[in-house]
Amino acid sequence: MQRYILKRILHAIMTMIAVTVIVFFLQRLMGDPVALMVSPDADQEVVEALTKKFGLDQSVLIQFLTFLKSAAHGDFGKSFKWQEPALQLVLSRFPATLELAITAMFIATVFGLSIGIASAVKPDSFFDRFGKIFSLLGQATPSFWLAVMMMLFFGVKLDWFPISGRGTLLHLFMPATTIGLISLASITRLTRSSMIDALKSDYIVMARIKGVPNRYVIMIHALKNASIPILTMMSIQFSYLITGTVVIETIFSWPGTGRLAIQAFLARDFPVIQVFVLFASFIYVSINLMVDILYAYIDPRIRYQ
Amino acid sequence: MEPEIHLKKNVRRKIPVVALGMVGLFFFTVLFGPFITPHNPFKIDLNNAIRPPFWEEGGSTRNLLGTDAMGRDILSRLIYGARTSMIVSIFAILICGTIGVLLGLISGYYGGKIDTVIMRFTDLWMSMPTIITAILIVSVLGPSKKTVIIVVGVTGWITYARIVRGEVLSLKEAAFVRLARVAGCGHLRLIFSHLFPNILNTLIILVTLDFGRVIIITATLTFLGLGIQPPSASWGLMLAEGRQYITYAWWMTTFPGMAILLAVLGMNLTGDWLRDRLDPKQKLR
Repeated sequence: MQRYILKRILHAIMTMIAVTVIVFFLQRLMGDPVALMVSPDADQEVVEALTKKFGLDQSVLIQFLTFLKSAAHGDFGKSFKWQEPALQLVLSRFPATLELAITAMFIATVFGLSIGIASAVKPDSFFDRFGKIFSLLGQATPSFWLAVMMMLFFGVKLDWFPISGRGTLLHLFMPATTIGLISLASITRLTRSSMIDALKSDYIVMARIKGVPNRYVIMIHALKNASIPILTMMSIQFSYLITGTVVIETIFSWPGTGRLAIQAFLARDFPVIQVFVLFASFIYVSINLMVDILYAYIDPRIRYQ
Repeated sequence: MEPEIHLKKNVRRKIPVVALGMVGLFFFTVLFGPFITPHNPFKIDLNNAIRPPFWEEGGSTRNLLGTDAMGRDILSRLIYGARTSMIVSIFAILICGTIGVLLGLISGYYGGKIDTVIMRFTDLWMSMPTIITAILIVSVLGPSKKTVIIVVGVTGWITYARIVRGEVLSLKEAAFVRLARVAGCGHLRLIFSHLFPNILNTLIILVTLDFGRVIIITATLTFLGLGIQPPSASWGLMLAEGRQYITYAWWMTTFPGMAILLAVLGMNLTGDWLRDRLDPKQKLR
């Protein structure tokens, strides 16, 4: 078990290193940052001074090492647009995104699992049919359109919720529900099919013959065995969540890292883009690591891989 | 007396008429788009701006689904948007399909170190969520239709690689492969003439189901400003442009979104049907 965890941690670290390398070298391909900072007819001296100041006159390898050294101190450069340290900027917006993401994930998981399990237990019932249609539609809906439709319906026509900004639970409802609904569709579908498969197994029949109460059969025996593919799906959903927050934050003007990333991109603010990519990858890799470790607890077979 | 065998009605294979109809319509607009648009989707007519669909007050049958902020006919733009989506999707799937299938075939067939390296590479790629890779690539290449195709192609090959690798791994042990090797069949010929045709079924299903992902991610990137640029007629763009007018011109955002939904739904349903027909062992989920 410990060997497995160590292997996964090593894997995560190597991934982060690879991402860092890719991000750094890709940024350098973007053209001369100095040329973007000064006007086209600037003095040659000014251009040279700026180039020297940012250390851009040195070889790429040295630039990379300098970058790593400052990164270790938490210094990722200053945002061109906001004139603040890039890392601090991204971190300051993160709580807002976290609030959104956790709420959305909660909605998607709780309702997704419940509807999925309920559908699996009574296949082809009215409830199940409804669930299936809902999943189909949910997987085909683009998140930004759902967001705009919700805005239109609940925000404008009914005027129940504010359509932008962050503050109260009312502000949180629409953005979180939009992301959550689409995730929910996929989770429901997979939970349903995984549970149906698990419920057909021999050990379930055995448990029933033994007289195990139905709710234990479903919630413990069947669910435990169905949870591996469901967990895989949830970590894929998390990846979708990152995309989702970028889109939804932009639409609802939610002050999170996603909206920051798009604003930085449109302003060609490289330091912020860089930090955002590294930060988001770090979060994603960490979540995957935790899911991998969770796998090992749930399915003992995996510990010996 | 002969025993009567009653087949329940739903045992017969159902052809999803609606789904295939939607897909057919989609393809139709791609081929015949320019001929069936009622108006020029790029023609600006500020006198006719922000007209509602024909069933609302202020609308006319000239513009069945209304016009946008610059007076361009929405129905025509939807049809052109379908063409754009289709073309971008086809090229993107070609890219990710080719990369994925090749890597999957090589990885599965040769196994060993090559397999490990390729799988590690796949893991690395998978840890970059799509939007992150998209932002990176678009930062370097600048937003455009070509960039979107590259981004969507380059982020989507993993599924193909994994599934093809799985298929190859199980096919490798089959009798016909071993016999071909004994007969002296070279590696390349084995891969392309023997293994590849057998994974075609799975591949068709995969491609059909992947269309949905491709269409949605293209629209999302375009919506955010990372993709196809104006004045192209793209569904994502139409939604982005219509957002500002949402309080009084609901049709500018509703119809493009519905178009996306129907296109993806059609492809997904068709993919599901194909999977039922071509993949009885449910290898693909």
